[in-house]
Amino acid sequence: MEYKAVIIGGSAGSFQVVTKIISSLPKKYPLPVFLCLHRLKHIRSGFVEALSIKSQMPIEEPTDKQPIKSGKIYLAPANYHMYVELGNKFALSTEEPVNHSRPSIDLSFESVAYNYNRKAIGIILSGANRDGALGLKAIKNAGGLAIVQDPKECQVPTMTNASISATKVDHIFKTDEIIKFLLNLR
Amino acid sequence: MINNIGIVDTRKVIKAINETYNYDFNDYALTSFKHRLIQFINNNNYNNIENFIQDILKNEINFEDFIDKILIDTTEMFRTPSFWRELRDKYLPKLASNRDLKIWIPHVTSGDDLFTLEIILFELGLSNNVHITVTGMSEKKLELIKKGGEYSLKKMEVGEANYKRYAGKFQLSNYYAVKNNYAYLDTSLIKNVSFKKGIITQDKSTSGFKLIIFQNHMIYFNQSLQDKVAITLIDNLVPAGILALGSGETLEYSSAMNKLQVIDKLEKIYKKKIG
Repeated sequence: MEYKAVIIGGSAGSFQVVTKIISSLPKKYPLPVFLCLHRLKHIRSGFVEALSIKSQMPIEEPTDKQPIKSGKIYLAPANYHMYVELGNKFALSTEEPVNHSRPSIDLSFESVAYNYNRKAIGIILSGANRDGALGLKAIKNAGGLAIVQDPKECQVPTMTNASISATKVDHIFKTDEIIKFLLNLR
Repeated sequence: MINNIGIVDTRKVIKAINETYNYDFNDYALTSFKHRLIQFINNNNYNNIENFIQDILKNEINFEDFIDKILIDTTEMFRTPSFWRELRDKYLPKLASNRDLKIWIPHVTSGDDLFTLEIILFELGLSNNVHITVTGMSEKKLELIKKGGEYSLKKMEVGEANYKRYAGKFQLSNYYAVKNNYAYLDTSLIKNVSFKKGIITQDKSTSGFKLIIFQNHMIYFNQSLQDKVAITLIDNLVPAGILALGSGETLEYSSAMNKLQVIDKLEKIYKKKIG
């Protein structure tokens, strides 16, 4: 397998897209899938459950130092930044919010870029701010693959447009094409 | 301006710090440590990492300032309101009933948890039943806490929103005064506190605590330092004493776990096993 991890970032207007993507992935998907989605910081429970309804892959919010496993979806927990750390583990952080966001998509993507290099796939979905653009650029610069949801399809295209301006993305895909691409990796 | 530094350079900085100032950051979690290091290097106008390392070796950086800036102090008052509610409702009244509750807040980087706890104790009418020991590595941060912190109004808004979710008796603004656009917490709240400068893994002078609050510090350590720190914390707890970590933290992967019992999996509350 050419790739080792998929990270998806999204904000306003991304919930349905994320749900559609993860519900299309089979139970034993060969990669770990990281989700960094802007969310209300004070609502700790319910999000994993809502995403789990249609997903065949197990979804969890990692605790600090939890080992990363293929075939699982990991959602960045509320009010923490989520990093991939050396040794194939997660690390959490309460460093200051970036782009008003904690979790910050940029920071999660940057750590994935740093640890997986060209074996990382980054995907930016609908969203109303610029978080994620620099993160996707970091993945691209490290030799990884940069995918952006087609802004024409996004409920709010600010985030995808910012990503497209920040870096030379590999693919601009509609949701169905993202799904097809992820399934073809098997 | 430096945007990123590699592992090799990060290790070189850590080695230089250790040689010059005899403090070991080797077991800090890499990503967050690197972020703070990059900020420090850029704020001090270094254009390359070699110059920075040379200045460390020549003892030309202010180490107190470095410690102050490298420690992550960006938590919130009443962060995770459900934890503080649980502490208020299930633990503090029982623990403090016989006037000798010793609490330890180690490795403080901000006054957030201390003032949060003090406000809760005040509202429970238990302030006089409790003695709190606060230790920290950074002299600067300890001095700031003693003055009531120096909070931006934006940070106080965050605290106020958390306090409402916690469902306190009053408003957070009852506990602070604003001067020149900064909020200072009421220092009469912290009369029952002893402050001590100290490094967590070397702290042997303290003991006999019934409650230790150690939230969102373990995340900045690697597993091996987490294990070491967990042992220090447990050693300083009385049997059946309580240890509270942050909501994203766990001792599940720690070698110290055999000395503890999980009593609240969601809020990350542990109890020291008896015997």
